[in-house]
Amino acid sequence: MNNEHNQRRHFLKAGLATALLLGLPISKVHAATGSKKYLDMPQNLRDELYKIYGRRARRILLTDQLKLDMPEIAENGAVVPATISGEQGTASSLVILVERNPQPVATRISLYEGADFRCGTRLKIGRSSNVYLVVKTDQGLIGSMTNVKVTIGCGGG
Amino acid sequence: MNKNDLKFRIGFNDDGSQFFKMIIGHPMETGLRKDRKTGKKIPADYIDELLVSVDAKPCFGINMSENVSKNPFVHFTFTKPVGDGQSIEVSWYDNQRRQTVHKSLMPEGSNGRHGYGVQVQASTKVVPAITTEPKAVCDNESKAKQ
Repeated sequence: MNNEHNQRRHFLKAGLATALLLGLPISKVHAATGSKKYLDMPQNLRDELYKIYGRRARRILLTDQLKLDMPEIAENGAVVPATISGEQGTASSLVILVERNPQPVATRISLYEGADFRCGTRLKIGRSSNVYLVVKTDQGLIGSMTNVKVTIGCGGG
Repeated sequence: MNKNDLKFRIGFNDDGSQFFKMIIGHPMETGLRKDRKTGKKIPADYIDELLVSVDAKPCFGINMSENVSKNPFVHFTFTKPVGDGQSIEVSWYDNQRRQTVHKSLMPEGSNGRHGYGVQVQASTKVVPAITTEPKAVCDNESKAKQ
C-alpha cells in the first residue's frame, strides 16, 4: 500500500515537473482571478504579434501609462492621426494594429537610444475598427486599445 | 510636394521636450486602388522602412507599410537633446527597395531649433537606381532564365 502511494506521489511530482518544464499554464486560475488585466484581441492579430515578438505576445498587460490618441470619429479615413502619449519611460519598440484593415499591422516603430515613445503618424483606416497598441518595454509587452469610427472610409492597406 | 521631398522641423514642445516632425512627399499607394478610367489596379508604391539617425547613430525607425497616409507625417520626441553641429540623416526604402537619403546639419547657434521658415541649407538628396534586387523574386522566373 505504501509503495503504491509513494509511486503515485512520485508520478504526480514528475508530472508537475514536466509540466513546469514545458511551460504549461498551471497558474491559469491565478491569472484569471488576479488584479492584472490582459489585452484581448482577435486571433489573426495575435498571430501577427507572434511573428514579431514571439511567445511573449501571449500575455500583453493592459496599461494606463501609455495611450494611443486617435479621434473617436475620424472624418476622413485616409488621414487619421495617431499619437502615442504618456509619462516618460523606456520602450524599445512598438506596434500599431488596425483590426479591420486588409493588412492589420499598421506600423512598427523601433526606438533606439535617442528617441522616446511619444511619437505619432497618420494612418489609413478602411472601416470603423479597434486599434491596438503594443509596446515592448523592459518588463515585457504592454498594450492598450482604442476604437475609431470612420465616416468616409479608405481602402487602407 | 514632389515625390521623395522631405520637410522637417526640430523644435521644443510646451513641456520642454525636443520634437522632430517631418513630412515626406510620397503617394503611398496600397496597390489595391483601381484606376477609374482603365479599371486596372494602381501598382503599390509606398515607403517601407524609414530611419532617422543623429551623428550616424540610429535614433528612430519606422516600418510604415501601406497603412500610412499619403504624404506621410511622422513625429517623435528626442530623449537626448540635439544641438549645434550634429548631423541628421533621414533615409528610407520604398517597397521596390529604392533608397532615398536626406542629410542635414544642425546650424551653429541654432539652440536645438532647425527647419523653421528658412530653407534647410545643407540637405542633399540621393535617389540611386535600383541597386538591390526586388524583394519578391518569383522562383519560376529564375528557373526559366536557366
